[in-house]
Amino acid sequence: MKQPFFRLLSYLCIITFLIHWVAVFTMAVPSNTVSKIIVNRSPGFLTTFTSWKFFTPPYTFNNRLYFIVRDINGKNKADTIEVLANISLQKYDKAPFNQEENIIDHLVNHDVGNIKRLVWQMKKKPTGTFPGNSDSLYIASAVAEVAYNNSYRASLATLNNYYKVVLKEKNIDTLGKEIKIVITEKKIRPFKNIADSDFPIQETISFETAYNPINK
Amino acid sequence: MILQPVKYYSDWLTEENHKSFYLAFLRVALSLWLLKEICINWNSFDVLYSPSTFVVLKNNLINRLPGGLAFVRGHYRWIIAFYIFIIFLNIFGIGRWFTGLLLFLVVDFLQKMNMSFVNGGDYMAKLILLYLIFADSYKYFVLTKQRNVGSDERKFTNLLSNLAAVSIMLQLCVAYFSSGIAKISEPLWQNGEATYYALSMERFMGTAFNKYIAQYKWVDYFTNFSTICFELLFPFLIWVKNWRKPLLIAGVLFHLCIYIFLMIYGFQIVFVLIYGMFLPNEKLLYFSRECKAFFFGKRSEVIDFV
Repeated sequence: MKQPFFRLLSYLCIITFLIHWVAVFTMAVPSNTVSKIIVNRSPGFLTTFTSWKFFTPPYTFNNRLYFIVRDINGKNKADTIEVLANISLQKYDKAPFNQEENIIDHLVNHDVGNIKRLVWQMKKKPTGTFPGNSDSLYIASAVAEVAYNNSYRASLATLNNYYKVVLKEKNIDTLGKEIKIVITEKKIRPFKNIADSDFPIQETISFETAYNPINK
Repeated sequence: MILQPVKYYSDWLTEENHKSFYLAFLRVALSLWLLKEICINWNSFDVLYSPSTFVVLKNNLINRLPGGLAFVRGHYRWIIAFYIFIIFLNIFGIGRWFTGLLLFLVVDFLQKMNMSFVNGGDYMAKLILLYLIFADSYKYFVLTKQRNVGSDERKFTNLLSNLAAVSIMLQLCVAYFSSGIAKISEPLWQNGEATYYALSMERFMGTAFNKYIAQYKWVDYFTNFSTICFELLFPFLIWVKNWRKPLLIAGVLFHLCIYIFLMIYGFQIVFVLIYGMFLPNEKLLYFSRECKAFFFGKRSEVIDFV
């Protein structure tokens, strides 16, 4: 091996290093014009560089995921199972040895968040409170726009698979039943009302499906 | 005039591997962290990777492989076994750069098998593994000594190691800085309300005290603005010698608080592990010798790190 070879290699490494870090800095700074142009032209490029945000923006609500099960003939009262608050409670109870609960929490919340993000990325979220008025038509029109989006379909399929796990765990008979998936946002008491323990906590519906027969 | 500093830095980069000890320590520590992650995820591997998982994978590279996702999920136990094998090789420095590359590829592959579970800590760990591929982290904590190489080759590996070490440090700075910038452009962080909401979220309710602590506005303001200050100042002041120690202590406390109060575990360990890169090699070597003397007494003279 000769010295010129290593010298050339060294220069190549330094140039690659500089290019890499210019690219990382450009992509890491949130909402800058250059990164927006690059992402618009080549969305896949973003996956190479993560932008670090850590709780930005912080959520001002807790998500709720409901599986509402009823008889197909609609005779008996529907069973409503809330999932996410229950997972959080289990995670809290078993901390710091809560990795199994932590994994389920991540897997389910990831798809809940993804569905909400995709459905409402172009439209304003509905304001109807839950239970009660659910802005069903408005939600259905927003859902229809992403119905063929692969990411949306994968997330919805994950929740459809997950309800089977939950119903099995709870020993709920699925024969002749149909199910509806509802996602809501339960507001955290606002910061300005921090001392007001009677402040009404609003729960807003942000996604719902129609009733669908349960597939085994 | 311009060439003088260029020459100074190019000499500095090639004269020696300035982080030889901590690069080796980081290789071992990160491998042990990956092993720890395997152990705590052991009972959930079926949910994460097996064909019986409820998670439907979004379109990614794995779906395009021969046999597709079904084949990969059907053989996930082999992948995990191979992964563990590679981690052990990496701990003992067997296979060196090639093992480093394999480990990075396997970690990337496993992350792609279930992207829903990948968090910032996993991503940072993957980036460190990527940079470690280029670094000579085999001077310490290895089974066999390195072969002697020519001066040109040595200079080149020193250059690569130093660039890799700088990259790991810069990566941490970028993570903090971009997070800090995102925070100052966000109204809830600007108003000092953000940590109140973070502490009040059910998913991250690490202790029974979270709700209690969040009730005090001064606590919320203090934690909110000190987080922003830390994230924005760390990337600049960490390079100033006098600021290094207080910043590293503040960083450890910052991550410890997230660990305890927000129940985000593995993430914090990876970030704090990088902190050692900012310490001088000589001090770390001195500290390691002191530790050896404490645990092994005089025998440590014989059992050196190599």
